[in-house]
Amino acid sequence: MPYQSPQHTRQFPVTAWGVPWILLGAMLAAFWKPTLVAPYLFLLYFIWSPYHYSGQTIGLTMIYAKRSGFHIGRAERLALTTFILATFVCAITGIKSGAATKVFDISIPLPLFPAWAHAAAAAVMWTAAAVFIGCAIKWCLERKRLLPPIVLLPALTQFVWFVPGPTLLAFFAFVPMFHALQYLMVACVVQLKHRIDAPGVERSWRCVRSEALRWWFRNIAGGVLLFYGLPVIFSGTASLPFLTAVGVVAAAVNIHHFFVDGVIWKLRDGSNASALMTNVAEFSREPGAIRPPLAAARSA
Amino acid sequence: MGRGLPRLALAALALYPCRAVAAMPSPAAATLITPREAFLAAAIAAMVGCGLFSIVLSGRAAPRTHVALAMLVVLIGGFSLLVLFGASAQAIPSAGVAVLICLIGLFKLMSRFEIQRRPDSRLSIRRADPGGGRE
Repeated sequence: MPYQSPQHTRQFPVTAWGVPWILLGAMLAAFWKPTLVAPYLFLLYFIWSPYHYSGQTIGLTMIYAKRSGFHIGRAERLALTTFILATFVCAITGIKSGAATKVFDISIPLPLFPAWAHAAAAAVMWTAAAVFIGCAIKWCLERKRLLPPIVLLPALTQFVWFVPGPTLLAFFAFVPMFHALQYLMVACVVQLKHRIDAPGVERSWRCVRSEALRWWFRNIAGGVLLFYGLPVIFSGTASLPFLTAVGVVAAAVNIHHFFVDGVIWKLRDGSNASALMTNVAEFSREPGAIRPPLAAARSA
Repeated sequence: MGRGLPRLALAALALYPCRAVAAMPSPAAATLITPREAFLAAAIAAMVGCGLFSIVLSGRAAPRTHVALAMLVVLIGGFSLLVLFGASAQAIPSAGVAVLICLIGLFKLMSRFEIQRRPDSRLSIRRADPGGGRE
């Protein structure tokens, strides 16, 4: 998305042009010294990715809370953030060093943690969960209505992903896949909103469908090129196993994604925020024809 | 005793330079660097590049661009330290905790990458108040 127009790249020049060069350098260093650099590049990605997913969980909870009318104040936010970050620390400290540390044929040099670290993270996590649930119960009692379960879904999902999940090896692959699916759905809506709002674009289901199809095709083709094409080229030129090349490229591409994600998903950006607060059905109608959800509910 | 100490000192003077000369690598050997040193040299070169780029852009780029370049220096430096000392975190549990805390700090810092900072509310109050907020 930031590469779609020169205006976007000018807005974030270091993210658009500086970070890719630095990561290309890191990737080349990993291919140059595969036993020295590649494991640490992968370790960086391995620890950064759950931290990044945690940020997305907080963001999604804020969106669902806003849509549901659940005000997240300072106490709620602190409890929610602490709970989500504690699940991340639980996941990292829960992995036994030396066990399941070979991913993409790369031995990840996971740090060794003291026995108390996991227990401490779990204690913080449960305390924060209790505080957040307390805030939610207070809100329910004050409003005399139930909190929409969707508000709690991202945090619950995060808990399943990071606390009981890592006991199954498959979760190391499932979590990035689930994250990618979440991301694609949200990014697709934002892209549709940007396209439909452009001057002279017809607002109809046909236009929404064709734009969505084009967007999905571009993303899938780009994904194949990045995660299959580039490793084929690098493994051939650096005489490395294909799987190692996949791991190095995946680490670099994902770290780049963490940077890009940081600049585009800030809810302070009005266009993104408005896209995340609408429904896809609204893109097929003229703005005047949209009934505000509250007015529609009242008339019903 | 009176002559013993000066003799010992002279012997030390005579021996230590010999050892130092023997330990000095030859110019040909000095060009041979380990993979770790080669990586470190590349990382330092990248950091110097970021610094130079920031100097070249002085007065032409927004302050947040300079902050972003400084953050890239932090990222490259942090990653280099991880490569250099990461192995000790696999052996010493307290070092593992320190590495995790430092990495979380690094990720938190990187989450502010190239983001427009909110104006400092205290600063804006001081600017608005001709008395500079003093009573």
